[in-house]
Amino acid sequence: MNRVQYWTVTAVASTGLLLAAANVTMASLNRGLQSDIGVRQQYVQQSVQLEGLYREIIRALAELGARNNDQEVRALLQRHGISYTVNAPAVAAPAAAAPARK
Amino acid sequence: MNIKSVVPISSPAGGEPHASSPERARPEAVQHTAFLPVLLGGLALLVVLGYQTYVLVAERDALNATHTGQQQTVDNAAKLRNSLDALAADTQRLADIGNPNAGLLVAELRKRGISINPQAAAGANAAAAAAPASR
Repeated sequence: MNRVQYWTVTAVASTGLLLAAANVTMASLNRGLQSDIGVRQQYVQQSVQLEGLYREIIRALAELGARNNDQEVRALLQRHGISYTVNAPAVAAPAAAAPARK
Repeated sequence: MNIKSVVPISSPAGGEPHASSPERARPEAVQHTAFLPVLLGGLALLVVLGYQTYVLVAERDALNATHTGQQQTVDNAAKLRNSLDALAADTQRLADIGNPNAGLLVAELRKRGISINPQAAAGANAAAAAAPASR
């Protein structure tokens, strides 16, 4: 093996070594990123479940506040950007009129 | 029977072998070095490693795109958790000062196994919001 051949083989081997090191590093980084994505996905899925609870709490507070005319609960909801209006009992008139017809 | 003449098998000089002998028939030995096999092996290794690097880079790009695409959803989820924690903490505080409706809701939540800690809610809230967003 002459001098040129020696350096050619050495260059090829060095490049291979660099590529192998790059592959190991890249695989490790990809695994970390994949794990991170999994954690974030789990976080989002848990938040979807919590969204149902959030809506239920808001609905319950609004119903309780409206039913009992609770100003503290109304103020609490308003602080969180939620407002509600209490509709006039639309069924009251027909219900009152119904016995009159009979 | 008389033998008239004898033809020698080897040359008269004695040193040179005959043309049909095995030593004479073999061509001149070519010097083989390890260069070509080693070079071919190295190049094959380079091709394999290069392809693997390409696949890994493509995979990383896809993962980065997924990570970036998740960001908006994660931000929305963090906002939702913030809102839920703040609302739950305020409801608990309202119940603590004696509001019957808030107390009823807190009791109903406790029946379902959900207990609210206003102090912990505020701390965990900030941590939960920061953790996914920072990654």
